[in-house]
Amino acid sequence: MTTDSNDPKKIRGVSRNKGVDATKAVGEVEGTEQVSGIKGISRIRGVGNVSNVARVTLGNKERLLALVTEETNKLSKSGMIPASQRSVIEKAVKMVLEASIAEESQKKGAKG
Amino acid sequence: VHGQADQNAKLSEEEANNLVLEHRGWAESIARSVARAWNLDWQMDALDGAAMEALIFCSRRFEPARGIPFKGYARKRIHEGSTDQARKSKGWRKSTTKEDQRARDLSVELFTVFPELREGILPSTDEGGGGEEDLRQSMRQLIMSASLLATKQSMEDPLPDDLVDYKRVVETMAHLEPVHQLLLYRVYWDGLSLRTVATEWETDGLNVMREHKVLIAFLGKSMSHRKVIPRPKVRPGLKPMAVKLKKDGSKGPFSDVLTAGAER
Repeated sequence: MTTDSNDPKKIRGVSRNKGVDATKAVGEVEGTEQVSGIKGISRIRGVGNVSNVARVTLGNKERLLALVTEETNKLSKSGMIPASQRSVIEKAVKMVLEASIAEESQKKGAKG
Repeated sequence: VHGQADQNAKLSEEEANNLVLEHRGWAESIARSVARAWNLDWQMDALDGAAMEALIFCSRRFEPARGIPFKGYARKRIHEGSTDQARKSKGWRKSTTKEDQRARDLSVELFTVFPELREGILPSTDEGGGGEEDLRQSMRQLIMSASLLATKQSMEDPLPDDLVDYKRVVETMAHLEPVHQLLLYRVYWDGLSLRTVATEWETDGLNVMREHKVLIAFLGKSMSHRKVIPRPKVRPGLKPMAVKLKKDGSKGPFSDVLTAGAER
């Protein structure tokens, strides 16, 4: 930058800016790839404990009650449950099962 | 906000009434099951009214947008209504033997330990799904749990034979890690459900349920072999509680009982 010798306030020119080396050319955007559509959701294979639960139903009730008798006998003989409590334990477990039967499998008009 | 409002939308009175009419027979069938199990009269002992009351209650609070089927939402409450009424009924204390009465009391406590039974769901097993071995494992869990509850009951009015059994059970449980002792104590002595213990310990319910199953199997084996077998390790999900107990210097409630007994 220089100043006019006759008028010191007047700017006569601007010298070249030497700082910027150059900018590289911006490459061409060649296009975007097509995003494939969502074709579906695969089947959920199970939610742990929820999908694999065993239920008490009218269909398996007799089998469950028989299992209680078998297992109570076994556990009592092996000393896993006190012999003096065997009968009351068996009754209690059978009561719980009876009271838990899935209502969907109840026969219509069944009496309580 | 609008979505939230939709989700919280309850049924109109007319819709709720229709739901009651539609599910009345189903609710009554639950009451009948409960009555049959405990040898009560579902109508004379007013289980039908209790089931109906619970059904109406649920119909007024049901929010269809939550995506839970009505039966799934209401079944536990209707079952609880029926069993609560059964225990208050005249038939509960009438015309039964002492053993039948004890069995009834035990079965009520089993519903507390395994609340999923109120929805017809058996205690969880390794395989799941309802195969023969699966059902057998479930039954063993119920029997062993009933045995622990019976042991606790027998403390209140002990016979000499019961005392021997009780001591053996307590000694076996005192052999367990403190966190395992506490789990059994909270469930069988304090009457909490496994899910409630999990909530209290800020862990997933499955951690407590699976650990409980392991403990029940351990107790069975220990009492069957009548010798000390390696105690179960604490699963990772229960480690924070185990560490907390260790820091507090707890030896476990059953160890404490034995120590107190020895000092007397």
